[in-house]
Amino acid sequence: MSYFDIDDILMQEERLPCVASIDVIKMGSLDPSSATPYLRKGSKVDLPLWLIKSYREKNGEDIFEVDPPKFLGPKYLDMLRADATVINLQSWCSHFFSFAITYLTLFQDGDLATTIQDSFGHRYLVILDISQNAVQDDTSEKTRNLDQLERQLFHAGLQDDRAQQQWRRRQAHRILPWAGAPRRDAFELGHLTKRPKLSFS
Amino acid sequence: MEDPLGKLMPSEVEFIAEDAPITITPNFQAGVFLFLKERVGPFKPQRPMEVPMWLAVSLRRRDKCVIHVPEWLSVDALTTKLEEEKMQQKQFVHMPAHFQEISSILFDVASQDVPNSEECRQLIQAIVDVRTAKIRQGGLDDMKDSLAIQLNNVTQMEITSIRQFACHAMDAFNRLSSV
Repeated sequence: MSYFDIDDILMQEERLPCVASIDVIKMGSLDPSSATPYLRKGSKVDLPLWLIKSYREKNGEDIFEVDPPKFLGPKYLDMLRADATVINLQSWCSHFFSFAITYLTLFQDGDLATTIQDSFGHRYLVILDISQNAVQDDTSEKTRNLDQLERQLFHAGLQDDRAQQQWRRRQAHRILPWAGAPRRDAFELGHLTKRPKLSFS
Repeated sequence: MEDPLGKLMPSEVEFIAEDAPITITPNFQAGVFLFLKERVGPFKPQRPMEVPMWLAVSLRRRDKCVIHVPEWLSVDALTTKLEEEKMQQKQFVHMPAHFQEISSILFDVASQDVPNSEECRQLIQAIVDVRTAKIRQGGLDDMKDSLAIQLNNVTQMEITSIRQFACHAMDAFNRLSSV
């Protein structure tokens, strides 16, 4: 994943409820109600994932106690366990799975990981189905419930299917030469002296 | 995730398939043709010879030859293959490499040379449908339980038809299982 991956950046914008576990120097600006340059122990702030991530990577100890976001809380996870295929993940968090993966790499949680993996497994079969059988051009109705990772998967399947159908109808696209292939001038430059010519008698 | 192999389109797979040799009977006389990859000829009228598919297509379009249809492209052979394909639940029957592309080209360019071409076309389509269903059931469905899938005897065109989806799905499962 590249540094400038827009999905990655948007995903890490998601804020998590945090409680400062020590007095943090020069971080008073994070809490609008704080009058001092210090972030007092016990004050509650919502911090984006990228900030929490870089804190944890830079400092060994935990400055913040981090709670999972609403959509990774017990109530939402119960809904996922009940039937993952009917849930509109886009409304929970548009980068649900990428977020869950990053969150889990920071805060290991075996149960949560299993739930997320199972949910994706169930939803994957639905995506497989709809991406291979998308007849009409408007796919917005079908992708409404999918998060960004699933949408990419859906569009990959759709492109495969479209290309295949196009080929079956023999509406071929133009095959372009490899950029490093010898150019036509090569003949004139004398590397290749004779051009093959079809002649019949 | 960007597909490491780039986007190989079905028409490009067909282009690759056109390198396969095929037997023709020319109706003209000519010397040896020199091409970048190979030399073909000499051509003698009524003398069957092997040429690359793309040359056969080009000659057939100008009515300079008759294409000998490969043995597997006949109603009998295809019916047997279809039966075998239906018999096996998970395994794939061995089909000639590029059978979809070659048959598609032949139906397009030389449908008069193929006996019972309409029936053959339907049989090919039926075989492709059965195999597609198998790829779906045996390969893509199982992907959620394992990190690798094995599909023997699957042709290049069939892989192309699922490549982007499979790559994305593998990537997603891999990322999810690493936490």
